[in-house]
Amino acid sequence: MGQTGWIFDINRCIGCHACTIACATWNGTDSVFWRPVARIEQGTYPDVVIRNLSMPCRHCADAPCMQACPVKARSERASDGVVLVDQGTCVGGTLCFWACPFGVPKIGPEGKMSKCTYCDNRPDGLPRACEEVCPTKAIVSGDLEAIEPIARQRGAERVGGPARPALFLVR
Amino acid sequence: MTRMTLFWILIPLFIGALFVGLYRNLFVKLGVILGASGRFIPFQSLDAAALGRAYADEVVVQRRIRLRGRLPWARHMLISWGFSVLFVFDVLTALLTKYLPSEPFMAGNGGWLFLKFGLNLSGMVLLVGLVVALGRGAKAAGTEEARFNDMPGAAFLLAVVVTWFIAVAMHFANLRPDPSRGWALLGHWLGEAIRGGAPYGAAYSFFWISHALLASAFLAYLGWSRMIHIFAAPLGRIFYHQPAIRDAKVRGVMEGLLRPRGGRS
Repeated sequence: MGQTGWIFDINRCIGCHACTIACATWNGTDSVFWRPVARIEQGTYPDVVIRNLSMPCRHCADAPCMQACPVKARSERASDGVVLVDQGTCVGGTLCFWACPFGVPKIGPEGKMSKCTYCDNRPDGLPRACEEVCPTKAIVSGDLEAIEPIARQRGAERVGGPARPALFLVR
Repeated sequence: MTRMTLFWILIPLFIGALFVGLYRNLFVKLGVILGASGRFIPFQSLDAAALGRAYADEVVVQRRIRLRGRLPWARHMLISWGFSVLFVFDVLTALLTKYLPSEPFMAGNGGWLFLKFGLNLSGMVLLVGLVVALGRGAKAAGTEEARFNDMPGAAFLLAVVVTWFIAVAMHFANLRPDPSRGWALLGHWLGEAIRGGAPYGAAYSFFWISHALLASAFLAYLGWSRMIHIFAAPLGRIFYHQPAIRDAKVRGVMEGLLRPRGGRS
């Protein structure tokens, strides 16, 4: 298996936050949301649109959070490129949050950083909790090579940048 | 090579290792942050009041550790405050004894008693915290909780503190009894307890040099271990409590992502 990642379709997202809740429920993160939905208003009156952007970890191929961690608490799983945090080693310095181009890592109430684990505790064959619950199918997860045809079909582009985030985005 | 020559070679090496560790494991990381996200972080929006509140919450009362439980919080408070106050008193003592006559401090002049009291009280606080931490760590060995304990760091610091108390006790035992040394608390009590074996010559030198080397080695260790959180956690967290800066960073990312490819700068 190669690098895993996401397709996110902004045009399909209705901002219902079902993915946020499903993620928190499945992973038991309580009030720490690994997949918040950010909302932004664009344009000027009367041509104004509200757009929603689900903001999970993009499991970047060159993750700046890994480079920024002073205690090397972060690692990239060789099998699928998923970036993980070792809670035992993490000292909660929040440097990963500041380094992440997307501001993804969250500090928990007990002072450890946490973020999307790509639902590594899901039984084989089940989609990610966020993907499963999304009513408009705005989220697709999987091996980047496997989901690339779907991304092309939807007109998604791979998000660029030095971190090489594993994300196809339909704008 | 004499023992003291080795001592004067090792001390600067250890202090240098601290600065190299801080450079490699903290300042280089801060460079990564500024390189990756610096343009999204509006430092000019810094809220000084929020900064102060975050410092009080995260550093002074350590609320997040309190949420883990009373015991983890109590031992972390004892260790962090014991260590911090002891460090301040150590520096103060070193400066005062270097630039002012050291004899009043060593022999027990009333004006210098606060140094003895401060050093020993904070040392005792640190000692209690470390003993509790190591006891708790030993009890948790092999369990899931053990992953969160920094046993090597705690054991290292305990060695620094214990050698210091032994050296102080031997030093006091070598001097004539002086009631004012009662302010030295544990150092004084231990000194009186071992007075029968005085004078301590070689043993005192051994513990004093051991303490000095261990303390310097511990400073070096700070920059290369989980102990670096002493510097990284307060710094990162007080900035994390800046909603305006955090929101602006996320907004900057969103606007960048939503911009059509052709429109990117």
